[in-house]
Amino acid sequence: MSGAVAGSARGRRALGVVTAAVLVVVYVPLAVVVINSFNRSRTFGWPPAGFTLSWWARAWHSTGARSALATSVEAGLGATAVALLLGTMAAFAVSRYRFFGRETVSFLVLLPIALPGIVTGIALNNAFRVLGLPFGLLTIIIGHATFCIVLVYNNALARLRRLGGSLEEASMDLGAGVLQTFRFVTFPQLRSALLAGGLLDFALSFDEIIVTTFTAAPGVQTLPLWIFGNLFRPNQAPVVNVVAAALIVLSVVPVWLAQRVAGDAGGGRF
Amino acid sequence: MAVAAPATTTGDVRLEGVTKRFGSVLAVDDITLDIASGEFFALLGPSGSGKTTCLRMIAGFEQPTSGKVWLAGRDVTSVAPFDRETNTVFQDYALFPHMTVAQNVGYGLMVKRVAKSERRHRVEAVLGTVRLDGYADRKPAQLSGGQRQRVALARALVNEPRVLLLDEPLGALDRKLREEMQLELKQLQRDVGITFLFVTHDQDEALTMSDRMAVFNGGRLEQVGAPAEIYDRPATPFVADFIGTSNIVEGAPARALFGSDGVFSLRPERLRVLAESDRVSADESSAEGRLVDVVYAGATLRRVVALDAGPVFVVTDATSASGSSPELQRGARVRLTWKPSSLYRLG
Repeated sequence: MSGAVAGSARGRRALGVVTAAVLVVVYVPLAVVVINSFNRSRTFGWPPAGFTLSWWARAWHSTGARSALATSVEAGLGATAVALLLGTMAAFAVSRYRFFGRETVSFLVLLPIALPGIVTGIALNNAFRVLGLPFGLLTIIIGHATFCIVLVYNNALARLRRLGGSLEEASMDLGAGVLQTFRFVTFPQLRSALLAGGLLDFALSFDEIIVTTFTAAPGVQTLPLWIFGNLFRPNQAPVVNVVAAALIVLSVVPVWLAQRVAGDAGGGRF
Repeated sequence: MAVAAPATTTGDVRLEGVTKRFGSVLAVDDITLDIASGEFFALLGPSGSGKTTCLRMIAGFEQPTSGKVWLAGRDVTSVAPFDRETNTVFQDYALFPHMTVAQNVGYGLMVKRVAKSERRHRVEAVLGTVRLDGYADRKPAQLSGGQRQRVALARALVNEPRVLLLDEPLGALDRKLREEMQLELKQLQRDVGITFLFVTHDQDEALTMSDRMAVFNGGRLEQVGAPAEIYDRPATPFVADFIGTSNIVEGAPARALFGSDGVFSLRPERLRVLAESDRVSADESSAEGRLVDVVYAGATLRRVVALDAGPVFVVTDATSASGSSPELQRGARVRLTWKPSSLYRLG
């Protein structure tokens, strides 16, 4: 009996060590990037030679980085908006109606995120050429939306299934029409699920590089593409470091928000 | 309503040859039913008997496959729920979790664009009616089951519906609270004076609360009538068995016991168990058998007797009653007696 207890205590300690090791491997490199963005040495010698904000100042004034950032934000917002619209509509259709092929919809929506990005990228590239669509922000947004839809769809579908239809029936029973019911009852119940899905979508779109490579135009670069292009130009390395550090912070915020939003405000039924 | 009701109107709610199929399942099979204005009416039946589907067709959540639904003389068969003068208390209450009690109750008035001051006034009044004054700013999650039930009631009643529909309204409450609410609902219905139509699978609830009831089985109506009528004169063996308990006898045992073919019902509380040697009074019939089980259930004593003629009868006595012989042990030879007037012939 006591042996079992001691064994489980030892097991727990071992598990703690492994967990710590994994966290170190994942997060120490990220910390190094952030620290190096303040490192006075241009070659990033370790330990850091001294503290400086000059790389941050240079990055701030880099027009290439700034326009890439703007493109990324636009693409992220655009892809998220498309995903919110289509994902919500698909979730409604699947949860509230019966129709031919209903069981297949989830699979079709999920597939783009499971497919290798390079396959999606090449396929979209070909399709845009055939359709004669000029490459640019629009094509990037479409490309990102293909794999963003699933996050909104899954979140919304899970919420709609949990809600069932009785709140909506109650609303209509009390005299509300279809639009009033959506506005006052369904949407408030769905809001946190959509917000969580949207925030994750933005984060996903923001750092996407493979599909973007195949759908961007030479003049329209997202931030990840800009970083990739400037990474091996020695003059730009410190600026890239700063941009990477900024990106870490920018990515953490939506993911953290999404988790909080999904965690509370779940809204049970009564 | 400004529209004059046709002369054929007999009451508030009328189902006319209503049938509902879900795919290949026949949920409601050609039901015709009239419910008078101001009645407390119960739809009673086991689960899957079609009673809830009927309620949902009256509320407008389901459309009949064939037949018509009338509300106050108006054909509402294909009218949407939000255009009907009915309101529903849902089995799970379906309160809006993101709204306060006052917002829940005021919802129907809000979507109908009733002025804010009048809304507040009416919400306050109806919360008083269901004894929830002071709870206006709570969220449903902060209420007990009984309080949620009252909010659901208030939310429906504030709209002053012509007919209030209640779907197993007390199903989620514990027994004590349920019995309290039964009386309270009954009182409430007398106070507001509108038609209450409620669905239940609990025969005690239906007997206690309703003015009249309809017994459902397998999508069909077995019997419609006042509780006493249905209890004392069940129209079918199903009703006799479903409402209360009945000892039902047919065929050869019926011939042996009652001297006639047919289906007979004897209520357990109308039977007495005597020792085999006891004398039977002249105005009673009797049969011999063996006591096979004795169950003490607080207020009642429930005994099972296997008659020599074949059937097994259940007998219940109030534990305080003196007429029956409570000292008899399991396995004893006994004599069952009953007044011939207690015997009810089903068919």
